[in-house]
Amino acid sequence: MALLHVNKEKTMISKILFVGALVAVMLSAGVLRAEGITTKALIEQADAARKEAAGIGYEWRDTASLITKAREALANGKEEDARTLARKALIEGQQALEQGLLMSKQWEMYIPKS
Amino acid sequence: MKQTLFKRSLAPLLVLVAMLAARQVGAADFQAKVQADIKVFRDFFAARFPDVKFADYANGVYAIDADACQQWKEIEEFPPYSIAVEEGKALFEKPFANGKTYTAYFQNGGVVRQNYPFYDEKKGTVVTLEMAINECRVANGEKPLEYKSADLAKLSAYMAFISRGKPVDVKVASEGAYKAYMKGKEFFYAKRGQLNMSCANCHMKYAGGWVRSEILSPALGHTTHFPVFRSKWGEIGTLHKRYGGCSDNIGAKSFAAQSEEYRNLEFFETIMSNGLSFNGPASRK
Repeated sequence: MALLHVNKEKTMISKILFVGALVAVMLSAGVLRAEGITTKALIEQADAARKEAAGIGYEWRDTASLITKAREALANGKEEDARTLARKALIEGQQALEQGLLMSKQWEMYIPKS
Repeated sequence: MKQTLFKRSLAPLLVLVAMLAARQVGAADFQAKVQADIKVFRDFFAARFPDVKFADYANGVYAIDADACQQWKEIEEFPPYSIAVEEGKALFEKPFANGKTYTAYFQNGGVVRQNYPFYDEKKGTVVTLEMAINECRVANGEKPLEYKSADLAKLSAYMAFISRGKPVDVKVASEGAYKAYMKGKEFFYAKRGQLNMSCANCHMKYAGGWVRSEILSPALGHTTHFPVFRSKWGEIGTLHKRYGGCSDNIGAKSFAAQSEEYRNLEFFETIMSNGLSFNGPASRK
């Protein structure tokens, strides 16, 4: 009986750890933050990330057009389409920013040697 | 008394001489750093393509592929850019509203391709030939040309044509020039865009490899032969138009033609090609 109790406790701890890790991953990826907001706010969040990446010269090719399409979809009442586009744009903006910050520190590592 | 006066008058002169000497040492130091970079860059290509002569890199991708080179030489017998050169000549000689022509601004009858790009100390920026063409127009009361326009490329093509054979010899002689050079260098090696690729990825690491049906050109010699008539464009275009296409290909947002980013990149790439000859315009697929 005592052994069963210990096993249950271990299972519970494992579950808590797993959920905690999942939340941490989602938070770090901005997923929960993005899902808990309105579509309009999600689009603005994507645009802010795009602008930040552009500010350091690393904006990606399609981010602005994804945002434009998301705004159009929202205006036409296609909210689910708008959210899908905004999510894509947000990921692009965040990854472009991450790329730019990394490159500004580490670009010399990528000089090919003969 | 006389001696003291002599010493007092000599002191500022000595300080000035020391300052000038320090400045000279500084300039030499920048150039020495650049020379070290050039060596690393050239050594890379010498190891990658040991059979290619240095001078041949001015021919771009045709330096490293015999079959493509043969086709290109046949195209060059009736070069598709010849009409653009003729039209560029006509534009170059056409007087502005004030009666002057481009020759009043560009010395040596326009044989000046070899003077660009350079770092303008007063403006604190890199000046390219296309930028200078527009400066000339504005100085003579004309509207600047759109930087991706065919007319600007034609003018640049004509000036490149009459400057053929002039050596590439871009200097980095000041802190400002060195900063611009370093920005261009960073742009060249930093990965960007959705594909996380740098200029160096395609044109150093994978130079000679295939992208679909095309062979990737070596970066050494990239800037000697522009503007180019590209079959894909169906017209003559500038180096910065090509840079924009490259950015687009790797999923990065392109910068405007003649933006500071692309001018610094041109500055860096041209310096890496020091010692080659300007041989534009050229034809490309």
